[in-house]
Amino acid sequence: MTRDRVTGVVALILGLFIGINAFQIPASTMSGDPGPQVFVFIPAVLLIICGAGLLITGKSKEEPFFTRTEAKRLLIISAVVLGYIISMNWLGFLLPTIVVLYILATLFGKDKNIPWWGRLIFAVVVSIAVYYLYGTVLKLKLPANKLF
Amino acid sequence: MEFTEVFAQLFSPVTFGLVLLGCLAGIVLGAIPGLAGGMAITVLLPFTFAMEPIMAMAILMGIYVGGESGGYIGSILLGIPGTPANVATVYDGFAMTKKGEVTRALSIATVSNLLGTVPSILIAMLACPVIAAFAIKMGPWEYFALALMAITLVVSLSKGKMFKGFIAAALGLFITQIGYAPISATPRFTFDSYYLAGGFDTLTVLIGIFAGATVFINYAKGDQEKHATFTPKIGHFHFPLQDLIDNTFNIIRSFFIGLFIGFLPGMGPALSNVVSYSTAKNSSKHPDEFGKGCPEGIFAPEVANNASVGGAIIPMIALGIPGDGTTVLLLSALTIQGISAGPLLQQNNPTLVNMIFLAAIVSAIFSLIIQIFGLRLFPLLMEVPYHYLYPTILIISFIGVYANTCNIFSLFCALGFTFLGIWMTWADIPVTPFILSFVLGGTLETNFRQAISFAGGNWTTFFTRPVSCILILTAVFCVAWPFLKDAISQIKQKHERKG
Repeated sequence: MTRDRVTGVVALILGLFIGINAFQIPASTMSGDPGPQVFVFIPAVLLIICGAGLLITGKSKEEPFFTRTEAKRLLIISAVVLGYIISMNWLGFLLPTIVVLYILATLFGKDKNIPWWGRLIFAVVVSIAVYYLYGTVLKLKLPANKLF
Repeated sequence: MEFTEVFAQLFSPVTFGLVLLGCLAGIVLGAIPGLAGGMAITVLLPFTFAMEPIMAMAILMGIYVGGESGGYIGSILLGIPGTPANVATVYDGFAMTKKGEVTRALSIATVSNLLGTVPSILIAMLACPVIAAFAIKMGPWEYFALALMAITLVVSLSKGKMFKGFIAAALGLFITQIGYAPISATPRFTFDSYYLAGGFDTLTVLIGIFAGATVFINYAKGDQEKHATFTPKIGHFHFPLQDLIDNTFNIIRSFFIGLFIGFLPGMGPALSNVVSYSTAKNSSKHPDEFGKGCPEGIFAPEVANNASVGGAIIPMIALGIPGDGTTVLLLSALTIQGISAGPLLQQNNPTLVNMIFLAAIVSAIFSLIIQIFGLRLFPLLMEVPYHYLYPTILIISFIGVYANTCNIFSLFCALGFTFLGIWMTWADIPVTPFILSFVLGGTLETNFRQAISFAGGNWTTFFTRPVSCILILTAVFCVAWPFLKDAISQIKQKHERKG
């Protein structure tokens, strides 16, 4: 299955999903107003037509966009960021950010042999800088600590 | 009268300093390859939340103009464009560097930036009131048709992958429909979730698709390790008088190409620099010199991409419709500040609009000065430590999302949109139609329903009103044209074979 064909199938399924759910949206109660239902059909129809079109005509370069290692790296960074968001929910901003910045700097700099204390200083300095800048100077809200 | 007020505010120490900082940040972030132009604003947008609208817009204009100016640095020094708006600058800019004329190339590009930005803003200042006055007379039919045309124009650009362009637009439309429907406040696709009922915030979507996806893909691909180092020495800025005189016509032509393309909704510097370069090459008396380091090849893209700045501002201010990807962010900034963009913007907020223009002009001048004096420091920008930069950008972006929405759910959404952005890159689906239809979807639907309501359920009014009819037909034509063109050339070929 070429990339385009996969995209076509995804679009087709999504279009069908939207279309089916659209029927559950109540039609308009006001006279003359087409209602909230009509517009939902437009992306549904577009997705179905174009998805089918891609499926039929779809061809793309054969070499995969992500190699095995690249896909693995993608998974790693996704897991790290997901973990970051979840941990921020419970632990607030400062601690998770320091940890994540250290991890990310390690991940990005793997081949460059940056000393661990360099990464640690970076993580701590940037976290505190952002905390101060956003929290105190700009008075923006940062995730708060719920556990202790 | 309002101008003096705006002047006073702009030149007050705090605002002045912040605009200067914004310019600098824009130039630096625009110069660093791997950070798209809009990233600078996306990442720095939350800084403006606590500020008053006028100050916020002043700084954002500084970042915008600086970002459009700094991108040429990578193109010329390393052959790696800082933003998609500087792709064409690589051809002759980098060639000139290899010939040993790096200072000349940098000087030409620096001057081109100013030549593109300032006149385009001046034209915007004159054009906006005129267009806005006309736009106020528009009814929902015309707004719907305009938004439709904007989206189809961008989709039609993805010739060869129209299906994907439409899929992108459909996706954007769908995502913007999640939440409460306009007018009737009917919940759609909320699945009884309290969080989904609010719909998705523009910044959340943009940060996911631009910042998140870019950093994730860069990590996956290990791109940041491939940058070469730059060794030649750069001299002081040298005003390219002779080159300017030789290229007067080229500059003027490139300016209008940039202005026009910037004006068209959804298209901006990324397109205009390439179009301007090819036009300059095709109409040159010595096209073979292009690609080998000729000044025409630097003037053309750099004047055009900066002229698109003023061009893109015109629809943003006069119509409330984004002129390019970055103005989408500026419009979001206005919304976050509680100001509704549209034809009445100039009437209701004249000081703000004047600040936008003035800040843009001042930023262009700042950028010139910064670049003239910083010319010799440019290679430093190319040595930036990506292993520190990307994590910082990721954190700042996600925290920006939180600062805007104040709930963790939106961070999960941003992550989700990051995956969407990655998928779209994988599937080669263009992002601009998606963004445009996401931003314009609400306008599209609201005006569609209002138009039909006003006409008592009658759909034909879209075509009986002349402006609306013309716009809709243009929209259809844009999409149909590539197919028509192919059909016509096939018919021509058949005739030639027979004859």
